[in-house]
Order: sequence, then C-alpha cells, then structure tokens
Amino acid sequence: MTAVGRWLNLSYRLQRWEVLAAVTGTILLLGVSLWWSRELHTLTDAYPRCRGLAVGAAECEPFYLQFQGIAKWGQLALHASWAAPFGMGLVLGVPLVSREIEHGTAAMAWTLSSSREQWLGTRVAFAVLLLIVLLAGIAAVSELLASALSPAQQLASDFTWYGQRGPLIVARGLAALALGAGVGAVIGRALPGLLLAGFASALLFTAISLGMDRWNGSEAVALPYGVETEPGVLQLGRQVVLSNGDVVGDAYLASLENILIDGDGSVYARFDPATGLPDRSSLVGRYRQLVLPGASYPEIIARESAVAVGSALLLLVGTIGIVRRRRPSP
Amino acid sequence: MSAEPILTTRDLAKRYGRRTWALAGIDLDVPEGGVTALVGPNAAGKSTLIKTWVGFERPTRGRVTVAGIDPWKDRSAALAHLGYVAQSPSLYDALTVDEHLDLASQLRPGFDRAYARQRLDELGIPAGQSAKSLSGGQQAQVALALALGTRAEVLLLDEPLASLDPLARREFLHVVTDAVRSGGQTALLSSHIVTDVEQACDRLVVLGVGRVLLDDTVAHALATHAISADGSGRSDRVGEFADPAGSRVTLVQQAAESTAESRVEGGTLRPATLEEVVLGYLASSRAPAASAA
Amino acid sequence: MRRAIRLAFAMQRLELRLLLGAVLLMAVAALGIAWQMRVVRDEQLACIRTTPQPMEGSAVSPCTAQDDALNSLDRISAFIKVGIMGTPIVLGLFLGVPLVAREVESRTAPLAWTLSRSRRRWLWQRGLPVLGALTLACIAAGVAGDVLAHAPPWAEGTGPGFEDWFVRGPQVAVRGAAVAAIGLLTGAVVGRQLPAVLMGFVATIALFASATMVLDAWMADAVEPVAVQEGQIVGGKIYGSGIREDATGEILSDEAAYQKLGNALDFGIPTGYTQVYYLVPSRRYGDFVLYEGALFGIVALAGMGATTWIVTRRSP
Repeated sequence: MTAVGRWLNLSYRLQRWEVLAAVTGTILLLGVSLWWSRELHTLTDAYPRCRGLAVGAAECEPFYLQFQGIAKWGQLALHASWAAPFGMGLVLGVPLVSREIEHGTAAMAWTLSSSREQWLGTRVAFAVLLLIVLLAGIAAVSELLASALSPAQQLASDFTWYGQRGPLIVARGLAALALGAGVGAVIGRALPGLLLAGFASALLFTAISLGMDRWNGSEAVALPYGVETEPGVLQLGRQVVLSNGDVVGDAYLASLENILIDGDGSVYARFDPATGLPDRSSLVGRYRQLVLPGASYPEIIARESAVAVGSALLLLVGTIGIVRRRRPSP
Repeated sequence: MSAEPILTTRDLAKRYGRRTWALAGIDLDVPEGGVTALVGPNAAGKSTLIKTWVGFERPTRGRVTVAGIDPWKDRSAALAHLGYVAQSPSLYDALTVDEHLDLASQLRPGFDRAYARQRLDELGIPAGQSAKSLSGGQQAQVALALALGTRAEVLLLDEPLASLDPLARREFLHVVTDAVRSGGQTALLSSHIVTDVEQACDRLVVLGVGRVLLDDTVAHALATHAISADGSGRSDRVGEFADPAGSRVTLVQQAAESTAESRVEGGTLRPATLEEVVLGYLASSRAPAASAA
Repeated sequence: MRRAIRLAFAMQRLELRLLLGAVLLMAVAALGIAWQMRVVRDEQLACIRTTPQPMEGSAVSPCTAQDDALNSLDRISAFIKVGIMGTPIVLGLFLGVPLVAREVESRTAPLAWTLSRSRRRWLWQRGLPVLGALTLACIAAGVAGDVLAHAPPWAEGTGPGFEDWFVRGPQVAVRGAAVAAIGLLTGAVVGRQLPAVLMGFVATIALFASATMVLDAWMADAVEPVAVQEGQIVGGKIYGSGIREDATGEILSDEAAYQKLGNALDFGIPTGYTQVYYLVPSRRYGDFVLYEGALFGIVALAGMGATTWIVTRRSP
C-alpha cells in the first residue's frame, strides 16, 4: 500500500462511524435529488408550453398539480442540501481532537508525532478532503435539482434557492468542520462537544449571514416600492427616503405612531377624515425596496464562500493553537 | 555514562489550581544511558514530572530540559529525543497492531517499523489482531514497541507496569532493559512499587510529595544505607518505618566503608534492601509540601 | 433518593446545564415575545379604534407601525418555534444516548454494573432523574410554545387549531421521552456515544415521519364537511373543499363547480351555493393530541423496555 493509501485507510478507520454516516447520507441525498430532478425534467418536457409556469392556462392545470406534488419533495431535498454542510461538518469535525482526548489516545499520538501540528494536519486533511468530495457532489446535484424546480429561470444569475445549491454548500461545510474541530479541542469530549458546536455554529453562521446582509446592502439597488421585481433578485429589505432627502431605515418609521402607507409606498402621518384618504400634506417620505439583481449572484456567492472559507482557516489556526497548548487529557 | 545529563529540572514547581502543588521546586539530573527508576507513592508528582519533560504540562516555576531543549518552548525538537509510554496506555480500538505501526510511521518520520515489529513478534503479539482484543499486558507491550520504534534516545515510561500481572511486568522490563543495553538509550521508568524496578534500574530517584528525597545509583544507595533495629538517637538516621512483621526499624545512612564496618559490629546494623531504602526516605518526608515557596 | 438524583445529574452535568439552560432561555424568550405581541395587539386595536378607516379599495394601510411590529415579532417567534420543535429531539438524543453509551465507552460500566445490586436498578437510578428533567424541560418548552401559538392576532377567536402542531402542548414532552428512549436504546446497542447519536437521529426522523403519516391518515378519516358562510371563520385542519348546491344539498368538487359555474366563481360564491370545507375541526385537537401521545408513549415504553433488556444482557 502506498503512503497515501495507508493514510486514507488509517484516517477512515479512525473515523469509521462518522465517515460511513456522512457517505451514506450523501448517497441517499444525491439519489433522492437526482430522482426528483429527473421526475421534474420528465414532467416539464411533457408540457413544453407550460415551462414558463404562467398560472391560469387551463391546459397547464394538470402540469401545475403534478409539478407541485413533486416539487414539494424536491424542495425537501434542497432543504437537506442546505443542512448537509452544517451536519456533516460538525459530525466529522468535532471528534477529530475530542475523541483522542476522551479515549486517552492523544498522549500517545502527540508524542509519536513529530509535532502536534503535523498530527492535526493529517487528521484534518482527511476530513477536509472527504467533506469537499461529498459536499461538492451535493452542491452539483442540488444545482440540477434547483434548475428542475425552477425551469423558467437561469439560475446561474439568480438568487432563488440561495444557500441550498452551489459552492456555498462546500464553503459552509469547511467552516462547520473547522468550528467543530475547535470546539472539540476545547471541550475534549465528543458528545458535549457536538452539542456545544451546534450552538456555536448557529451563532457563527447567523453572524456571517447578518454581516453579509450588511455588506451586500451597501451595493443594493433601490427600487420604488410596489414595483414588481424580476424573479431571482435578492430582497435585502427596505428604506425610506424622507421628504427632506434623508434616507432612513425601518426602525425610524417604527418609532412613528400610526403612519399610513399608500400602494405606491408613500408614507403619510395622518388621514384626511373628509376623504378617507391620506392627508397629502402629511407626506413623510417614500418607501424603496432594496434588492440585489440576479446578475450579482455569482459575485455574492463567491464573496460569502470566501468569507466561510476564511472563517474556516481562522478557526483551524485557532484549533492548532488550542491543540498546541492543551493537555492530552479531558 | 556521559557526564552530560539528558534530562534536567531546575527549581521545577508545578501547581494545579490555586493551592495544590504537585512539584515543589525540584532539581534533578538524569544522566545519559541506563535505566533510572523514578519511585514514589501515589500523588508524589511522578507523572507530573514526566509530563513536563514530554511538554504536556507547563511548569509553574523553574525549567526542564530534554537534551538541552525546553520542551514547552520547542516541543517538536524535544519530542525528537523522546519516546513515551503513558500511564495505562490507550490504543486505538479501531486499529490492529500493524495499523498502529502504520500510524506511527505516518506520524514520525524515521520511525523504525521493522524494529518495533520485531519486538512484538518476539513477544508473540499477532500483527493483525485488533488492539481492542489484546490483553492489558499486550497493550502495554504495543505501546512500548511504538515508543521503542521512535529510536529516541530517551524513553519516558510513566507507570506502565501498574496494571500488569507479574509475568507481563517481567517481560515488559526485560524488553526495556534489553533495548537500553543494546541501543544505548536512556530510560526513565516511574513506579510506586520498588520491587518492580529493582532488577532493571541502574539509578534510583525517590520522589516524596513534590520533592526529590534521594537521587543516586542503585549500587551506591545500597552500599551507603543500612537498617538498624533501634535507631533512636542516631545522628545518621534517615527514617523509621514498620517492617513486614510490624516491628519499627530505622534506615540509616553512612559512608560506604563505615557501613561495611558496621555490619561486623555485633549485628546492630544489617544491609538495607532497595525497598527499605525507599521506605526509609518516604518515611522521612511524611509532611506534605504545602507550599512551593 | 436525593443523592441518586444529584449523582445522576453530576454524571451528565455539562449536557444538562447546556440543554436546560438553552430551553429555559427559549421558554423565557417565547413568553416575552407572546407578551410583546399582546401589548402590540392592544396598541393596534386602540389605533384601529382611533384612526379613521380609509375608503374601501384604498391601498392605504392604517396602523402600519403596529402591523410591522407584529410581523417582526412573528418572524422572531418563528425562530423560537423551530427551537421548540427541535427540543425533544436534541434533549432526547443528547441526554438519552450517554446514559448507557458513555459508561460503556469510558469503561466505567463494569464498575457501575458490579457495584449495583442489579443492572436494571442501576439503569433506572441513572435514567429516571435525567428523564424527569428532560420531561420537565420539554413541558416548559411545550407550554411556552402553546402561549406563543395563541399570541398572534390571527389565533384570536378560533384559536390556533391544528397550527403549530409540533411546537406546543404536552406532545413535546411525550416526543422527548420517545426520542430519549430511542437514544437510550441506540446507546445501549452501539456502546459509543457519537455513532449512537447519529443512529438515534436517523431513527428519530424515521419515527417522526411514520408518526406524521399515521396521524395524517387518522385525521383524513376524521374530516367533516363544514359549510362556511362568507366572512365566517372556521378553525380546523383543512383537507379539501367543494361547493354545496343549497337546493339539492349536493356537494360539488372544486373542479366540478368550476365547470358548472364557470367564471361566476371568480367573484365569490354565487347565491344558492355555499362554500364547503372538508376539515378536522379544532374541537378535535385534544383527541389527536391523545392519539399522538399514545403513539409516542408506546415507543417510549418499548424503547425503555428494550434498553433494560439489552443492558441486563450486554457485555460492559
């Protein structure tokens, strides 16, 4: 057996349960996703005129009904694709260090190895490699399923199914794995480590998501309120342009009592009781919706993926720091 | 033996928590070559001392070195000189014996797989057997083979005999002494049972609660200590303890030549065994080290 | 007894602290959100009373601040509801699995099983306090979920009915006990914590999916046709709809009614016809809570029985 083969074999043997769980879960998810995307494609091909999903055409009624019936399951598979990086990352990451400490093998491994960094590197490299392979499969197949679920949209420049398809799945998985490894190294016990890493990952990814919203918000396009946006834009919230030109967020309006919003997004302070319509002289400002056009999807995905991978690297550096300093006992 | 010590400590103190001092400022030199026994009761600080050399514990005060290297500052360089067997060594349940050797080869460049394998073959430990199904003695032998396979100059063995049966202990010690004699390595073997190490060691370090009570070669320790049935009032008294019959006896320390003379002296003194030397010193330091200051 | 409880808690101190702390936080947050919703709803009602209503057909919405506040609170409550929904699964697995698996994995089982008079006694001494804490925590989560489900304005009048089924009421506790039993069982079989959690999770998903299908089938058998007048609000879980021809009492399916009445349906239900819903009325909510409770209760008892059987026979 070659050195690489031996490394793969040993790494697999040391994490057999998690590896089997991750591989089995991935195969199931890939199978289910491919099955539903094939079903959807078959159906869409059978009704080429209904491809645009324009509701109302009587001839498309059977298509809609069947499509929605299948799409319900396809969406479940996409939800699973969204959850996969967190689940798999944590399950593969947490035991990397914590189990060695918990089972008392860390003392032997850390003294046999020329350095703890090298030991951690060999362990993490396998988990990272496996995770990338599995999640890349999920990322690719989820793209297929998403395009089957939205046959009329060009998903390469479209925010629909954001985070449930494409490379962000792999990047998030890496961040979850690094976080799991770090928390496991701190706690030194696998099960409480998994629990704590679950909480920590909820915090980390919420923080990333909020940070990304803020970052992306600075590049958002402001559209008049009520203008129907194209499918595939990313809605980032709304703002109000006050009569004096100042731009304020929702919070400002929430502080005002009994404001009125007209269909075109005009915000008024009071009614005219005589007409039952807003008092035009009390105009506060106009609502605008903030959106990112679908064309920026590749850039935004690349950006969030980079943030996730950057977080993973930082967390791995932190894990190395912990492993270097900690005792090999719980 | 070379004059240069390969393991040293200077004013080494280690505190756990806010009050518990495991080591209270010890100075120790372990010379290169031979087997040194580190003997002391439970909680004397033997494991802590070894762990500071391995770089698992950071000294609260003082300094330790392995071949002149501070293991806390440059752990990798220190570990290159060390092979370590932990107290009740744990192996990977999921791996076979052979896979443990693979793992060691992967982790440690230069790991002498053939040598480790040969040691295990001599003991009849099957390479394909799962570590989980090995006996306690066999697991300890695998851990020792892994440490020996590193071909490190120093073997730190942290009470590896504690859970072994007499035959397994004897085999383990035989492998250690054989390796040291043939390979010119240095072994430091900790134990709280003196009879275990008596046959194997060249040098003896007795650790009381956090302090070094005796640091000597076995031959010199035996030559300079004797047992007195009535040691009260003796200026050369080390410590008093009960013999197996329950009588109080006293360990006394004398110059080597005077001890020899005393033996002729009407039978008031008799030569001490190594266990009695250790017991005498341990009895002399009953008071726990409350502070390292 | 007190010592047994203290020891059982000490064995799983970290998990208990984390999980019970999280549930407590979540319950407090749920109650806080529900209270805020009531306050904002009162303000909204006061606003509606005091603000002149817009002309019919106008797109103007009065009392927007309160509407927005209610929507924001609802969005937050959705997160809490997800947490409550996951409570029985997380608590059940993370408290159930280690009870036996950790002892086996850490090799303390031989000591514990030889010290105790019987393994069954050991298991119950260890397990009951933890299961008790888990049940209490799940009850707290269920009560908080119930309060949260009743809080929004749209739950006024008919109540939440079958809405928020997974996040409220005593079922949360029964589900927790069932998942804990699954965790106990997988832990006892596998003897290693992390693999047992993964297996237990898969088994739990299978259990929840099966229970949902069984319950759905029972509910489908219990649907009643309910005629609804325009503007009338009915509570219940709707399985289908149709149009009743008042003169004959015949209920037409939606497709049949569309074919018969054509575009007239676009402007509401024509005179002489009444909208009919096939639904399980809200008053039957309690019955189905009992059914589901019985289902999960049986799983819990069976799981605990099987665990006891395995623990008395397996090698430590």
